[in-house]
Amino acid sequence: METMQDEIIKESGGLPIIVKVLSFMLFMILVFTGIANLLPQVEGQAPKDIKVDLGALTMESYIAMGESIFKGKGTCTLCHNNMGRAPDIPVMDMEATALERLKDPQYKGTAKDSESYFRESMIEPSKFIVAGFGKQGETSTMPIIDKAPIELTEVEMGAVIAYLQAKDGGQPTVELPTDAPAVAEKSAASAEPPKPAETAEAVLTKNGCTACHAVLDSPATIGPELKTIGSRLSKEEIRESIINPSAVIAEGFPPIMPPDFANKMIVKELEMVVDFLYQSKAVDSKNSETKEPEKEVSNENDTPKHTETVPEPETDTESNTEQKGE
Amino acid sequence: MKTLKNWLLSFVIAFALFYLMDHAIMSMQGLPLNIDMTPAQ
Amino acid sequence: MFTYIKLRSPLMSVFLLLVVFSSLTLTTELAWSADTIIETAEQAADATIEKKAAPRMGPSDYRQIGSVSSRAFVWVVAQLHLFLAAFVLAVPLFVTVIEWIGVKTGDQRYDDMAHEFMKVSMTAYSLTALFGGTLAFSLFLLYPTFMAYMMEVFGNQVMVYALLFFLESGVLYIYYYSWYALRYGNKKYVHLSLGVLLNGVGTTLLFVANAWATFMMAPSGVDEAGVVTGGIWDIMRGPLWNPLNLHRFVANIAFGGAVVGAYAGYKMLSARTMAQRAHYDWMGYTSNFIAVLAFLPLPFAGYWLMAEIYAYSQQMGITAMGGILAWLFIVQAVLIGTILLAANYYLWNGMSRCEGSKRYTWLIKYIAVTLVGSFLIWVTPHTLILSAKEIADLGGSHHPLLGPFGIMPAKNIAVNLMLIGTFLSFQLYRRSDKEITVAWAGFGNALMAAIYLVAIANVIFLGVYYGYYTNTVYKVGSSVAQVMSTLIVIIAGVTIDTMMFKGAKNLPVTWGKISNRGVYALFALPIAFTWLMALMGYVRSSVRTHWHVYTVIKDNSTDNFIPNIGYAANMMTVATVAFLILILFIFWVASLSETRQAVPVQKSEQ
Repeated sequence: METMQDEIIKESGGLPIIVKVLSFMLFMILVFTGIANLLPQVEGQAPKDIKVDLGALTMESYIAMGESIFKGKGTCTLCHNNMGRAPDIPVMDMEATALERLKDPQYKGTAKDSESYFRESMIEPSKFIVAGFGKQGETSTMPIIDKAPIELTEVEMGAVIAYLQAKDGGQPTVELPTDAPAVAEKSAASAEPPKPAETAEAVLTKNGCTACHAVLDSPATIGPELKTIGSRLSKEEIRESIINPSAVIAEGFPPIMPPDFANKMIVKELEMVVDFLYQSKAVDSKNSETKEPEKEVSNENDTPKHTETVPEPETDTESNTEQKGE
Repeated sequence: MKTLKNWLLSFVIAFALFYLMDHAIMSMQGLPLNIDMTPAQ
Repeated sequence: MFTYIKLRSPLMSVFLLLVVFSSLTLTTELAWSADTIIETAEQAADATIEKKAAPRMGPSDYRQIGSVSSRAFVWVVAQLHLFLAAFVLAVPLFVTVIEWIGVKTGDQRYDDMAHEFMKVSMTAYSLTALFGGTLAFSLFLLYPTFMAYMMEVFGNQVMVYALLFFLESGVLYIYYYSWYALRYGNKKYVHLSLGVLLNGVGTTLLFVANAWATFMMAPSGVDEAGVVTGGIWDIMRGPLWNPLNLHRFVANIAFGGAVVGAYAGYKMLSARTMAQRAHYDWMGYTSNFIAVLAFLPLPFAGYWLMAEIYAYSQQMGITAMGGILAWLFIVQAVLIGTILLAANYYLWNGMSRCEGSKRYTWLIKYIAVTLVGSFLIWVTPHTLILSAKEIADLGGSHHPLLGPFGIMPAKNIAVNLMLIGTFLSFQLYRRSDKEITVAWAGFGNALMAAIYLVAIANVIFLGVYYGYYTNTVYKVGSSVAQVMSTLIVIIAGVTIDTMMFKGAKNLPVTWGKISNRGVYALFALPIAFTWLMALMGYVRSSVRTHWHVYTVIKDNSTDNFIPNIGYAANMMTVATVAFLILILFIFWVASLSETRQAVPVQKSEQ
């Protein structure tokens, strides 16, 4: 028994064991590497920001853009395909489907036509869950399309809607976007003088008036409130307060209003603001007449975009930055 | 004879065990166990 | 005949579980108390520090060392750190269990083996720290803005990590160097307690670090803009944290077992005496046992992790399983198939150690055929994505081209059959040195056979019927029942065997009596495990797509795309080969301490 234990094992000859073992291991590593390299090589590119020349946009190119977003950046086909995870949109007549869904007694959303239904499905996917893909009232597995990680912009979602409406021969009801996206606007602004603002509200927002004054939706109290300014000052006084703010300082307020608005506004803009403010009397009626014409299409989506597109800060950085921090 | 009984009993137990397990797991997920082979849709 | 007592496997599993649970509870407690400390500190800090939103990354937020891709550099360093860390965290886990078995059985050889395992992992420990430091430096150097945000989010938690690291080092050195000072009697229990403490701290370290990775995948405790809204506990306890904790914990044990198995295998092949060969054969068997035991539940942990990923974001789940990364699972199948085949091959070869195994050899060919057949079905591609253009057309979606064997239900059948087959090999091996004497042996064997047969039939039935004739909901539903079938076989097998082995006669086992070819399976395992770990790291990181922190910080670097599988494979190979070299160094240093220069002749004679 003892001899068995102490028995010396003869050298087997050939290559040293370490060489054999290492070669075996390296061979295995190479096999794995080889297999992986033989498979089709695909890279997953990050979505590129789509730059669109909105001026040259036609409905055809808008629909085409929608299709490429649907299959690309929007990652819609990841689930909307024939694998049964979500309705197979590519083979469905979506215009007809949308109208059916709206008639569904289970439908509790607020959409009235296919366009608003598609928009609602993207922004609030849990509003209506298609039978077979979950229960009503549950949270849909569909991500919110204008939030991370997909983050489609208003213009891009419009393109997708146009594509969905048009792909089976329907007529898109989506308006072609006219506002340039923020990026495009900024570069344009640096190249040439800014375009005059269209409305008094735009002028107020653009010049950062709302940062200090209670006007429009702003509740700011740094400067005097302007919602009823028309009852207190004449047109002349309003004009002078903008052009030369330190001439008359309203009681109880610090003399901090920037004096350079005269250099920044064009006459048309100044007159619009003066008229607007003068009409803002203690009785309301101030907003209705000026805001209405703007509101006509897809109001709730238009407003936030508007503030986003207008490059507001460059007017008065020094007074603005402080308040913005809060 | 005893061997045969052992095997029969074993298979009965195993079948019962797995049938009940399948049934429990499918019903836990709200799915029927279509053991009669009717198409489950 | 010189025979070793075989590991008492059921006993071993029970203790493994015990250690797992005790460390988990300890960890949770530690984490809770750490949480309260941090939260109080944070409340104090809240008054002064304003919470910041996540940065928008521009070109100036990235740096590069020369023309080396920052991602590639961090990739390799992080991977090496993880390999080493997994190894040094895993070894003490099973070392403490083996030490405990040594105490219970009174067999000193367990204690010696445990000490030898520990010795191997000691050099790896300082290397782990070195690579951890290098990783931290390179992250701060190459991704300064991103790291600033991570520090903003995790705050003082990183200091808790540092503190734990000090504690880990202290306990580790005391545990190892006090081995012989605290070897017998009550002192042994002090030493065992040190082992438990060491594992508690080590596991906590792992969990703390996991939170960083899971935060990047599925952030919690921050709002849409990335502003911190919750306490550190909200940030750490994201939806993927616990699944990843479990998955890494279990995988580390399998990985650690496989690596020390290679050590034992090499020592065995180069042994010069039969006694040495027998010792290292036994050590290799034990390592393989640990690796396979930890490996078997791993698919279930992976299943949980994937389910949580799908629940967090269906998009992320599909990106991993059905999009461009789908190909990766073919490679994964090759690797897991290699692991299972190697483990089985080792068990079959190992049966030659024992005369009693003759009874079962006829079964091996059937197991082999099942394994190879299932393996082939498993690696049959599910989807064939032909070109990048096609991906664009399909939005990174499935493109089913192959026949019925390529789709998921067939793979579910194959994987479950492979697991059942492996467990059968395992069970046969355990029975091969026993003569069962209980009166109901006939019934017990019949019941075991019936469970195997019905389970296999059930797995196939569920897969074919629900998989091919119903919709997705049923497919997913029935796959749970398939997995349960496999689990029932494993549980029933362990239970029935434990009862049947009562009073069983032990047949002689000759350690060292295994063909050298069989030992090579011990080298295949760690390579496959290492490469597999790297592969899974690639997919775990890639599902974030073009985000550093998913939905919070966009990756705007030049490397913000998912690299193709070939490039990724080359990176994994670089990391694996580097790890292999490091491990050789570690083993060499470990053996250096045993080597003594002979006393020069002329002095000894006078």
